[in-house]
Amino acid sequence: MNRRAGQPSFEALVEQYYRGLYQFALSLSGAEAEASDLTQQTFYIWARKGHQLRDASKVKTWLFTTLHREFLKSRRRQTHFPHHQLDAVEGELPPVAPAVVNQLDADEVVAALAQVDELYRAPLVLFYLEDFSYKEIAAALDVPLGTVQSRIARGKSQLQGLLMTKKKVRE
Amino acid sequence: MNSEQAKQILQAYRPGVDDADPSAAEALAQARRDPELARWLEQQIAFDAAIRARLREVPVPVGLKTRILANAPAEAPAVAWWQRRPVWLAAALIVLALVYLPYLRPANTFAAFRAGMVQYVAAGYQMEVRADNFDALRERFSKDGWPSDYVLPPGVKGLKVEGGCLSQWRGRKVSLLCLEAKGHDVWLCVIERRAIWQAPGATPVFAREGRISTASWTSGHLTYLLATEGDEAELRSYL
Repeated sequence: MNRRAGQPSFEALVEQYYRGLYQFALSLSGAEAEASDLTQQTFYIWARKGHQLRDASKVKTWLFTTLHREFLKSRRRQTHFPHHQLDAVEGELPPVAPAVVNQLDADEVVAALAQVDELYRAPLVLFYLEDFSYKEIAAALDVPLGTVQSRIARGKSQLQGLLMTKKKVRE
Repeated sequence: MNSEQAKQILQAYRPGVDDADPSAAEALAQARRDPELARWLEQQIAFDAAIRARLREVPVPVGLKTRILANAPAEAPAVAWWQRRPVWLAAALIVLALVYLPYLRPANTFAAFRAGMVQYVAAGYQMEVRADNFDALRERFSKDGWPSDYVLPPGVKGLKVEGGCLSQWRGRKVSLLCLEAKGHDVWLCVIERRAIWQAPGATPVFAREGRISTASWTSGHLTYLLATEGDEAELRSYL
């Protein structure tokens, strides 16, 4: 494993980012095993190619970009692509009270996120998880900067719709 | 910017993270003017905080970190340093340089050797080896590690031996045989072929350096330079 000057050691990198990467992967895939695989695969790719990254300040973005690409690749390989249509949440929804969210556990939130349209899911999770700036989210997902905010907003609307539905089912 | 436009922007707003965004700043200003929008924003921020907190509670599988550390570097087909292309190229260049450097230095051309030896004998020198026959001379060269397995041209064998020198040219050993013919000096210089670049071939090459005529050729691992104060015809008679 090669390492460019200024880059953290492999161990330090894993320590710093494996948790966030796993949470990102789980939010994308909704499956623990797949999330673990994606996280391991991301670090595996880093071990092979990380030394090619010239700017050490972009390690974090590189890791999340790589994980997202691997996720998209794995989705393309799947024969049965689970696509969730969420036309019902296109319009404006009443805000979901934080109390509603607090009644849910982490698994339920992840499950709801996994149902958000894939186009909006990744920016939305990065918005919540890693304090990425809009610019960093755009770079990590390779989308224009101008679309990041709108995708986050639409993803959030979908998430709120899903959580409202969940709440009604409970009631 | 009206409140509806501000909502679109503030839905993706994180306090402390997106404050520098110009559109967020404008939308926040609108929220300060519109109490209803301000309440909505407050709820959004609370919702986001709750979602963020839940996501960060997501437990990471036990042993994941260990598996990453144990597997990724070991499984990575990291190229060993000696298999990397730049290393091979550098090694090849070093080998080539070591093999060919003695021949690639223009300063060590045969022409330079010829000019140097002619200058040396023409300037006068001290006879280091006193000998009156070829065998004694060869024996001394051999004993001191100078080229001694040279082959004398037929005509040279009949010349009178005056002695010899354990000479050097740019750090390379040169056996210098000092002979006499027709009342003037004749010299035979012998050097390792690999010590010089652009050495002559097996067929003798004739050239004149000042008042000295020379004939040079290579045979086996040695290069010969025969020089005389006479002319080319005389040299030809010795070969």
